[in-house]
Amino acid sequence: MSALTRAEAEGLIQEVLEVYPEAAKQDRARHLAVNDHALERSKKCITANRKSLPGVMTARGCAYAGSKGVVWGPIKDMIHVSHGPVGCGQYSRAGRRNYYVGFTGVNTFGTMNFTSDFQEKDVVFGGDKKLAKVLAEIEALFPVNKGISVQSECPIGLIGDDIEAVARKSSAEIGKPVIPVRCEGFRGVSQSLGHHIANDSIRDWVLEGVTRGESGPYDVAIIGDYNIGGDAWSSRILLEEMGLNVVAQWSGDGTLAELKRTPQVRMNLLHCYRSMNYISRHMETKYGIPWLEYNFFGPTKIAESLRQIASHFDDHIKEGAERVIARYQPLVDAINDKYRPRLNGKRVMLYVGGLRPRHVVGAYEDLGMEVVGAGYEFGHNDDYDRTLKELGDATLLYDDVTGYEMEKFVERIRPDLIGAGIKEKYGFQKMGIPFRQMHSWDYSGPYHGYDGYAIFARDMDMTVNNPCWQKLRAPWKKGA
Amino acid sequence: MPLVMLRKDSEGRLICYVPKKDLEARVTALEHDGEELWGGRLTLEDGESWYLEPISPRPGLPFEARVKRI
Amino acid sequence: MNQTATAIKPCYPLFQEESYRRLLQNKAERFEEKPDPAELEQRFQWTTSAEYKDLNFRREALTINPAKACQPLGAVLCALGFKGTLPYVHGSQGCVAYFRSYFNRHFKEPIACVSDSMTEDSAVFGGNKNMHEGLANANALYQPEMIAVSTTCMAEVIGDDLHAFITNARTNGHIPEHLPVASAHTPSFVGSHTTGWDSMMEGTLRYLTINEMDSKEVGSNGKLNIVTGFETYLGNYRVLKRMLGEMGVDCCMVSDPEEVLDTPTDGEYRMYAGGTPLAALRDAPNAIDTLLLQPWSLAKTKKFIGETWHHPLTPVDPPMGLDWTDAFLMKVSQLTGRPIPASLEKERGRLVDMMADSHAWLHGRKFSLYGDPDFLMGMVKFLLELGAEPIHVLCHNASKRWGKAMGKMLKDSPYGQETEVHVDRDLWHFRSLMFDRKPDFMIGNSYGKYIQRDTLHKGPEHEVPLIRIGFPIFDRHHLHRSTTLGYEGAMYLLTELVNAVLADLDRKTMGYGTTDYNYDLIR
Ligand code: SF4
Ligand code: SF4
Repeated sequence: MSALTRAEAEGLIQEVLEVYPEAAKQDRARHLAVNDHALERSKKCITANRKSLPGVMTARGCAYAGSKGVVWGPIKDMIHVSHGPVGCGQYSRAGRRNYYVGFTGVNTFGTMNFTSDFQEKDVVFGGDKKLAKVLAEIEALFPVNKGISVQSECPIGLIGDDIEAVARKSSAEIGKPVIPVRCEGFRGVSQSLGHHIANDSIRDWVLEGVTRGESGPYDVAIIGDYNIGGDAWSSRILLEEMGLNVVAQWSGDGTLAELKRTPQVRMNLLHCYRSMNYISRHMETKYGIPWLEYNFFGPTKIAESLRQIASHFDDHIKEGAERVIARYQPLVDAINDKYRPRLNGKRVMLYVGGLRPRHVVGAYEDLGMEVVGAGYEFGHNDDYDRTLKELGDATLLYDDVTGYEMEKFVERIRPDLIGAGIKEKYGFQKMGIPFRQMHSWDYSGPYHGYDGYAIFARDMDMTVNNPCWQKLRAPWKKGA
Repeated sequence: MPLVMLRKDSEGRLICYVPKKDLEARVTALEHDGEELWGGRLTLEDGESWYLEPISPRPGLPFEARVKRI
Repeated sequence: MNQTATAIKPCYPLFQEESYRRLLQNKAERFEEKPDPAELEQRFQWTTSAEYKDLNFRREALTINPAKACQPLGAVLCALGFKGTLPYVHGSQGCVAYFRSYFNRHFKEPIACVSDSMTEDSAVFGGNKNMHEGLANANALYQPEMIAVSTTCMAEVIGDDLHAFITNARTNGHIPEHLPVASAHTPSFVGSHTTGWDSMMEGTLRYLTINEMDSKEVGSNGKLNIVTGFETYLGNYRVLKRMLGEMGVDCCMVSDPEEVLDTPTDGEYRMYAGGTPLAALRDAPNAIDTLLLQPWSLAKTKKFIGETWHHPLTPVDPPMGLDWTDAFLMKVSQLTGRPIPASLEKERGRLVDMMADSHAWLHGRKFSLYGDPDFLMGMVKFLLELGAEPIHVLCHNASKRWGKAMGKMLKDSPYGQETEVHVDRDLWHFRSLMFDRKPDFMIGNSYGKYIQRDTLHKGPEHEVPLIRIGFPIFDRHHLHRSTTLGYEGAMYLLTELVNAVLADLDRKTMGYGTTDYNYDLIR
């Protein structure tokens, strides 16, 4: 079956909206659209970054998830305290696969869960005293930590605690940064505000007072790569191969020293725009460091990005980029020869966070696949602006899609593959649709860079073409 | 009086970024674009216009400023 | 170049390649300001010392690597066990994203659950409006037979009144008059996930029966109610129904998610499947009695059923291992007058047969365990029956009273004389214990894998392998479908334990040309 026509897609949206109560219907209608290449601006067709409707089964998380889970959590030599009740930290422990190496429990802490485990008395009488004690105990048991961040959970902002004062005081006592982060889960409408709040707290508590350092000619930083399955490493290797000097990774496998070193770079290379454009813009304003968005998914976009990055440097780097592209071309050819015949023409629906619905389109196309539906869990309009041109005309767009809508869309479109999150995964598998988690790489990865593309191709093939999908119906029911 | 950021994109075009609205738009016209005087009426690609108190001399980019809606 | 199209390597072993090793080393040396490896090693050794253990146990405020989760998680599991029921969490949406993905990862199943997405303005004005819209939307989209409302800590801190909100929603026509909406306050700063399960159970039973008690008569339906508590082994729901079925006892499994958490892949997604019918819940006060299989975690349910349903609430221990399964079946028999059939007696005999077959590998083996209170009671009981020796028993979410009871059970057994019991301690404490007195194995959920790694790093002779029994288990597939209750469950546990012992022995004796002895074909 080929992709829907514009009229079919519009009809499908209308049909899906039918079941909603009137107010909800009007709201949801603004979040569902059909891509139109004639449009310059996404806001003409789709609304994003608004409150989720109550009761509809959104997949979105909260600001705490965006701050602790995404931005701060991967900074490996600091301890991130989930401040409040026990749940949030437990559910987000070691789930994101942002890899690092280190002596966990000694100088790195990424897979651990530190929490103040609020009890009723802490809610009633305030938790500042407890927090101060938590911070002191951390320092006693983990003296090699480089600093501590306090990640606020919902109750903190509601009970009027002054975590900033506690942080300042204990920072002075232990002689290390202690960073209060006001990422309570009720703030904003999704993880996205948590990214922003985390960026701002790095600006105010880490970069404050840091001056523009002595810059090597090829110094760059990787911004917005969380090293899921090792993504930042398979990216870094290419940048280094082309001659650049990567002085910092934000924040996958990152360290406090790297954050502080960043104001020396010539250019910030920004992978996930959604989660780290804020700090990039800040460094542009404060230090005059330009930033450049790039895309390391799939050979077409990788080559484009390498050349674009190189164009801001001298011939040495430009030659380096060409050398890297040429070096990997045989691998790319071999991968495509092997997998394209198996994947050509397969149709994909995507529903991911704030970057991947546009960034992985090229990689699928490199394999001959077509993206027929895409949506962001927490994208903003500037993300959709960047998306319209990446996708085919008349592609279905769905923002903060509800469980109900997604199921209906999939029932009708019957794609050959869905790329979304764990909450979506099992329902669609039961419907017989091959599925890959596109947040965690389904426990595989990396997917960035050329090394990652090989794995991406292998994974898409194994899932689309696994024999299990042919076994859904009992043989005695065939033809019935 | 929203806060905006004026910057050059990678192709060297003047861009106006309005964080509150997640809006990044090309500046299609700028009233004063000289070394001595810079600012005034800003027209964006989608037709919206803003007023930026003119500045002298021309500031370096990126540049953050408050603008008025016209 | 690290990949070829014929041999594509994912993260492991990709990052073992020389070029990546160099990359990581270079990054560490030039940019990370990483301490010297010798210093790190020394620090690591310090974290395994007695001095560190003392420091660690002096912690008062900080929790590291908890062995518990929060209340609404339990409430959601409980609600999933009722037929056609949509779990609904009043409060912030982030928590619900977490509950769902936590269960997704454990069960490898879809989890339907909505929140009413309270945000900053609801913090100021209260969540009444969210509740009204949320109930209306959820009902329109997902057409549940019942909605079961619990709360996140946000709603609890601002003090939202669930009962009033739901009543308003009904009077104002946001939900149909006859749609049942049960509710429970589940503040996450009190208790743990087991408390939340208990609260949701109590809230639901109260909602469905409190106004209909006049027509009820204990024993009139001839059934026995079974309340499992927070139970994640699907086989346990099945084995209980099977055993009672073989006895000819009609039972009502009060909250039974074994279908909805184990639906087939056949082309259809079933959001609702199986579960305790609402009619059965309404009828439950007419049962002969209600057996609470997690006596340490069902306080509210117990109080309600005792005071309102006037059930005798015959006490039972969790039917784990041999003795407590025997005791359970005898209680059931006594309550219902149905004899224990030959089929169960044969099954019991098979368990004893297995215990005899494997005793030589289990007797005197040392185990340290952590987990939920009632699981630990049952597991320790079974270990003692096997002649195995529990070394440490650690529970993060139990009371001091539980600690005393556990201590007493241990003291009464020759195999429990050396056991330490730790209440309200976390897995960083547990880690210190593993270095302090090394057991042969630890038993617990997936989080223990980090402790195994740390003990191995100290040296192969310090390694404590993890046997995965508990919740959550994220890093092994399909174990949640197993059974840990009844004779059948004991067979599974015993098989896991003995084969862990044998596999470990193989691992230690397979040194080629060095430890060929005791690397036996037959054991
Ligand atoms: S905010 Fe509260 S209810 Fe939500 S996950 Fe955290 S502890 Fe649990
Ligand atoms: S891809 Fe999505 S989830 Fe991942 S970092 Fe970017 S925005 Fe966040």
